[in-house]
Amino acid sequence: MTAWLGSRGTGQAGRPTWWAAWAVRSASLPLPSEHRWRYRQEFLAELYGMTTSQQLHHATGVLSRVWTLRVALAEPARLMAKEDAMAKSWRCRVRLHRWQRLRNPEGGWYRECLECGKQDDTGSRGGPNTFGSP
Amino acid sequence: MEQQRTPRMTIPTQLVLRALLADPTQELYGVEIGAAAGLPSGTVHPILARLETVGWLTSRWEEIDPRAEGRPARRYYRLTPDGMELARTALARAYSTSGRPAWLRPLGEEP
Repeated sequence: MTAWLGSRGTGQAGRPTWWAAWAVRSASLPLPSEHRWRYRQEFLAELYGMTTSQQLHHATGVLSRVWTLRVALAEPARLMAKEDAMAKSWRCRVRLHRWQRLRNPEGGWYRECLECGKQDDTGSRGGPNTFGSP
Repeated sequence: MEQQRTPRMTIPTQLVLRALLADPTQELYGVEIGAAAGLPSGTVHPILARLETVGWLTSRWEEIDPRAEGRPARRYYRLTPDGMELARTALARAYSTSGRPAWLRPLGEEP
């Protein structure tokens, strides 16, 4: 009987209980399909060696944060772009750049922001993007 | 000029990086990282995913025989060489802001 219960995963000998295994498998379902298998295996492997109460705590934590993980996996580019934008100074975000006037190899003038590096060649002859052009 | 992408340096992210930098050569799996960082379950994996996306972390499956061990392979995480440098720099920048608490100071820094 004990062996049968153990094989069904009742938390004996550090094996995951059936409900903890079910919970972490369910937690992987909202994840992007290319990551689903990996995280299902990862969450399941982490349950081994835990006590029943630790499994409950772990499974609850994984379930409650699965949406955060989904966002982190599905939209890293959007998050990074947002971070880059927030890293700019407030002046650059409201387009009050601190322009510095520079000359390119062709003799034309252009300007570059000292803070964010934005370049502007409007109205100049031979801007920064015309290096090497005929 | 391409700017190096940096993850959001939230306090949990700083704690995870600090835990990984405690011994950068050691590989840890998710629960171990959470325990070392003092973070609850579920908080660590989104942070690890972001750090892996920007290349600060690398991960691999544990090489074991699941039948012999009686459990499936775990996923182990480790800082990349670039990630170590960038993490130290990012943490130093984060700590340099005013009002940093003692438990968030860089490793080895005296109060």
